[in-house]
Formats: sequence, C-alpha cells, structure tokens
Amino acid sequence: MKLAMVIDSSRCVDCKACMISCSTANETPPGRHRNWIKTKPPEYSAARPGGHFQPGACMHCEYPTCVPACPSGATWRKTETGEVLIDEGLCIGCGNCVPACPYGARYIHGKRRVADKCDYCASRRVQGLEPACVGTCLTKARVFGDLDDPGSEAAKRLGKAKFVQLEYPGVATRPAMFYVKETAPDNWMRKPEAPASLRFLSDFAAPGVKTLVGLVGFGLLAALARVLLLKDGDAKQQGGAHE
Amino acid sequence: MNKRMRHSLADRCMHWGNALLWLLLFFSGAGLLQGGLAPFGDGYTAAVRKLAGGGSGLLRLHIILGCVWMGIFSLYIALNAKSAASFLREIFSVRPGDLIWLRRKPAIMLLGEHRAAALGFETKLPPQGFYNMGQKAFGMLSVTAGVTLVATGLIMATGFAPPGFAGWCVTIHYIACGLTLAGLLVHLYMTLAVPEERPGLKSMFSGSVPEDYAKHHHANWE
Repeated sequence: MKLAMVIDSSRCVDCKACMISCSTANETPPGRHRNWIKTKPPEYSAARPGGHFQPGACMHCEYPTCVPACPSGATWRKTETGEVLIDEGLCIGCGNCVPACPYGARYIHGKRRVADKCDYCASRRVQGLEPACVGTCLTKARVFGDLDDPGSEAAKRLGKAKFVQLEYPGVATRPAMFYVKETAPDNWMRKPEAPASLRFLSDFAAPGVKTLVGLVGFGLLAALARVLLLKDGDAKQQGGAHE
Repeated sequence: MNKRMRHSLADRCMHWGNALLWLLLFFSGAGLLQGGLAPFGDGYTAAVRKLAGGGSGLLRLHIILGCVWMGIFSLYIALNAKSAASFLREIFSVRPGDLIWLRRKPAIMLLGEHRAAALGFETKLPPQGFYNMGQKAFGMLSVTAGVTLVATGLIMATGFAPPGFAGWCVTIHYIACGLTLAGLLVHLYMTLAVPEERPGLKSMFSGSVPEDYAKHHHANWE
C-alpha cells in the first residue's frame, strides 16, 4: 500500500474550504493549520498573467527529514503505507522536527504540547471517510488514495500523467504528494535545519560523553587488571599508608 | 573490634533506593533514544520498548520512575533535613590537601602504590575527612546532575517551557546522565573491585565501619 495525495493544482480556486474543514476535523488551535494554499500572484504586465494556487500539506516523504530530527522516535515513517506519523505518547514537544521540515508542515500544538501535522485524517479514515480536505474540495483539486490500487482516485489521476514533486534544491525527500502536469510556486520551501540543541547533542555532547565513559571504563579495567593480576605486596601495606 | 557508626538507617535506605531507581531510570531512558544517540544501539531500544508496550509506554514508565525517584529524595529530606544538610555541607567543602589527594590518587589506583612510587609518583595522601575527595567529587557531581536531571525531566514531562528550550532539555538531560554514569563507574569500581574498600561497602548494609578503617581512611573524620 502506498498512500498518496494527487493534486491538480490548476483546479484550485483558493476557496480555502480544505483548510477550514481540516481545522474543524482535527481541532487545530487558532492560527495553526495542517494544510495550506500557496499563491503565485499573476504578473499583470505579462501577456498571460498566469497566477496559480497550490494546495499542500505534510508530504509524507519517502525520505523525511523530520524523522532523524526526532530524538525519541515519536515521529516515524510507516513503511507499509508510507505515512509519516507522530506517536503523541512518545512526543515530548521538543520542537526539533519543526525546522527540520522543508515544507513547514509541522507546528507545536500549544495545548497538547506535542508536534502536530497532517495524518491524512487518520481518525476519519478508520470510519471509512476521506481526509477532510479531500472530501470538501469543490473542484476536486485534491484526491487521495492508495497508488498500489489501480481503482483508487489517486492512482487513476496519476496514471501515466506527468507530475511534479516539490523538493528543496538538494534535499531529495521524495514526497508522496504529486502535482499533476505542473504547479507553481516552487520556490517557497526552506532549507531543513537541525536545531542547535540537537546538533550540539549529536555532534559534541553524545560523542564527548561516550568518550569520557569509555576512557573511565578503560582506566578502571586497567586498574582492575592490576589488582587481579599483579600482586605487588601493596595489600600488606594498605592498612598503613592509604587514605 | 570497635565499630563506628557511619550511615544511619535512613541514609542506607536512601542510598539503595536511589541506586535502584537510578539504574531503572538509566536503562529505561536509554531505550527512549534512537539512532546515533542510542547508547546501546537501536536493537536495545526496540527490545525495551516492546517490553514496556511501545515507546509511549516506555516514556510513561520513565516518567513514573522519575517521580518515585523524586519521592525518595523528598521523603529523605523531609524526615532527615539535618543530616541531608550536613551531607551537602560535607561534600561541597573542599579542604586543604583535598586537591593534592585528587591529583595523587589516580596513579595509585592505576599502578598500585609501590609501582607508582617506583615510577616517581608522589604517593603520600593527605588525611581525609568523613568523605575523601573522590567521594566528595562524586557527591558534588551526582547532586548537581540529579537536580539538573529532575529539572530538565520535569520540563520535558510537563511541557512547561517554550519548544526550543525543551530541545535543550534533551541535550542537558543526556549530558547530566552521562557524567553521572562516568562517576558511577568509579564508584562501583571502588566498592566492588578494591579489597581495602570492602568495609565501606559493608557499612552501606550494616551502617558501621571498623574503628581502624575509619582511622586509616578518614583520619580527619570527627
């Protein structure tokens, strides 16, 4: 099973129904959204002004940059379906994953104190419903389904069509969000970043602590070997001289 | 042989409670880390999580253990405020000669007293008080790190901090635990592997040490 969202962004009219239905279905806090519509403003001076609307959300990447940024493994990728999920019970809300996503798809939920993002409306899907954004899309710009199932809306639309996957230059995340034909804008992604605290931990603190523990352990083993193997008469003296 | 009281019953209970909880917290905490940060590798992490009924179960267990750990100390301090205060005063006071002791002791531990002397190391150790400087250093480390672990742990468990700060709490929690572990290795070595320190280990069960041990190892203990 390969879950994916296939988007025909030329159909999008920027009505924002997808954002509203998502916020309602997933009870996102005020000012926070799991999905978005990016806009490429028309150039009125051009012969063909060519403005464009581009719906998006978490891209459920094949090589997600948020997963290695998570110290506890609360963010993980389910290989059987391709979903990138958050185990809220394991999330400590450290926020490392937020700047690690090139799409800005994540935020920290102020009340629940955990990372939050699109999960293809997991709670709706168990009831046999589509993700809220897909169900509500008036122009069917968004469709969702299993690409391995040739009968699914997503597979039918993707078919043999040309498609675009949005990636920050040089960061091959391989998103499971396909834009058929072409889409715009394509310059809004940001460089994924590991926060300073995580970089310090993995580059300095963890190797440093491991080296220290290793050196201490090695020294103690050497001392132990001396106690066990080389009996040099210290034992008799110990009562007298040691403190 | 004359005995001298060293650790009250409350001290001993606190010590063993702390020891048990610290180890449980260490081994459950190790299972919360993964990838390059996992101290025993991803295999260990997966196994412990399975045992605890998943990652979220393990995190919950770790937090509960942390609360029990805090509870032990709170109880100890509430019932023994005076001896807790004198313990802190003792471990944080560095007296003349202590640093010399700290400088000379490692060579003696590594080489043995005779060989260290033969190689030109100074082996005469300044007299020590209730705790020697090594014990005091471990005391300073474990108290400071313990307070740090509790503070950062509480912040992570409750989310009572801005997100960026919680990220630093992970890093600080890791460092505090790692430094304590390094000290703990020395502590375990001294009690388990060094025959002359055996009375010290026994005193953590019985409470008292032989008078001549006290005289030789802690001459300035009043």
